[in-house]
Amino acid sequence: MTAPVTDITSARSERELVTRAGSGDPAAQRDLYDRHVDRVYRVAFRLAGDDDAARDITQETFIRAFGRLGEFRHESALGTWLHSIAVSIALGALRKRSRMDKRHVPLDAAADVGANDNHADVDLREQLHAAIDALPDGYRTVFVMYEIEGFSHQEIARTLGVAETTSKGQLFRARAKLRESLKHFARDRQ
Amino acid sequence: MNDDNYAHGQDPGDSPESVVNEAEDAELDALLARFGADYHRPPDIVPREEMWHEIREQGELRRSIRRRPIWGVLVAAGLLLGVGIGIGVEVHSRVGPHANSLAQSAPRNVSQDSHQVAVAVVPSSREASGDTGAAPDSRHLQPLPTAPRVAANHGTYAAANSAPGSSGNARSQAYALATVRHFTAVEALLTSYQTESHDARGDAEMASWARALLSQTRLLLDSPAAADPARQRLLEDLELVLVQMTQLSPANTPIDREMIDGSVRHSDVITRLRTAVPAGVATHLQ
Repeated sequence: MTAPVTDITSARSERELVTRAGSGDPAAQRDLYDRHVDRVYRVAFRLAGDDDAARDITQETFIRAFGRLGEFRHESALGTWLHSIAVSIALGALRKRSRMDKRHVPLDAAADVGANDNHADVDLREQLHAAIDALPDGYRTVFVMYEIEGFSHQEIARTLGVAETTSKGQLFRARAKLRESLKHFARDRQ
Repeated sequence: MNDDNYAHGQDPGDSPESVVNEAEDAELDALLARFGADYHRPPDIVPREEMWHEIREQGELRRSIRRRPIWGVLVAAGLLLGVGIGIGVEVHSRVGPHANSLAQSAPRNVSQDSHQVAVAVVPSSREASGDTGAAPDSRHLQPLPTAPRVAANHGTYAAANSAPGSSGNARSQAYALATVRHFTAVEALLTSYQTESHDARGDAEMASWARALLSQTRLLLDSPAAADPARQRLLEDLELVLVQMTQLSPANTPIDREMIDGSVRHSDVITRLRTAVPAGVATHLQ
């Protein structure tokens, strides 16, 4: 039964780190950063789709987190809390970008790609990725976190501040839209 | 359908709309298995150090900006303090056997001209000769038609062009005192701007500082403190310079800075500020 002891020790040390980091200790902040930055950056990249945006989201996440560590009540894992900040920032950035970026492909247009461009050499990968890109941000966030990054519904729910059933419902609808979007393409391939 | 099916995006219901085509679903799963991981695939190496550097830099910059609004609070507090001191000096000057009668006999309708007051710390002849027994309202008042003039190292403020014992007297003194304090603060900003290096952090701090002082400048422009034409002109020129300084940012080009420098030079505000606030007053006011 060493694992639970290790977990408790780890949780205790993280709690101490959070306290020190919250009081402005740069070494503690760096330690927390090193522990969590990779996963935060990965999620940010998956949602944003490019390195610059992922960096901005990650940086903003840690800047905000370090400024608010005093508000962190250890009711969830620090990683979950960081992810909730990151996803919130990412969704805000995506909303801003989608307002400005007319290249954003609407879902119907993504479906049309498969319908109109049914050549044998159509890239399956491109098709799938375009369909995911075309999902509404809320659906896409849950879809990416669950299907691609391997978060559980419990983690997603805590991260997004929603019920687990909401997370499951979002995933269901995301998959339904993807199926619809890819239906033409799948039919053409058969 | 159980909850796990729902969790995996399969239909938990039986309605025609929600009937899942299992073949499509399997197709989707197959696609995801093959290409899902490639979707917005992050690079293998996370740019940790670069991001950490940015976090430290941005975090420090934001902390300094958050700290800087203290200037706004300090300037506002200074103005309030100035008004308070001015009123306090006046009230104090009335304390004595004639205070009540003076208060009762003071004119109720004070002319707006009484606001045309400069801070005049000029010893009256009686005070200079050591006669302190006279009633405060009998001291000689020195009219100062232009910008505030202060005789350093003397603690008595007298108002010009105001009726002795009038309520406008105290108000005028208070505004004049607040104005002198404000001029001192703006002079400090402009001196810092000219002497400190222009980097991103410095620009943000200057802009924040300038914003606080700009608000106070506009308040003074709308107050009786601007009744004096020379003081009004100086406040207006300061407003222009401060507006330009609030735009300071790392994105500024040398031309933007040259425009600010040009405004400072052209309006000669630093010299005028120093004339309006002679040496020693800043210390005296603290």
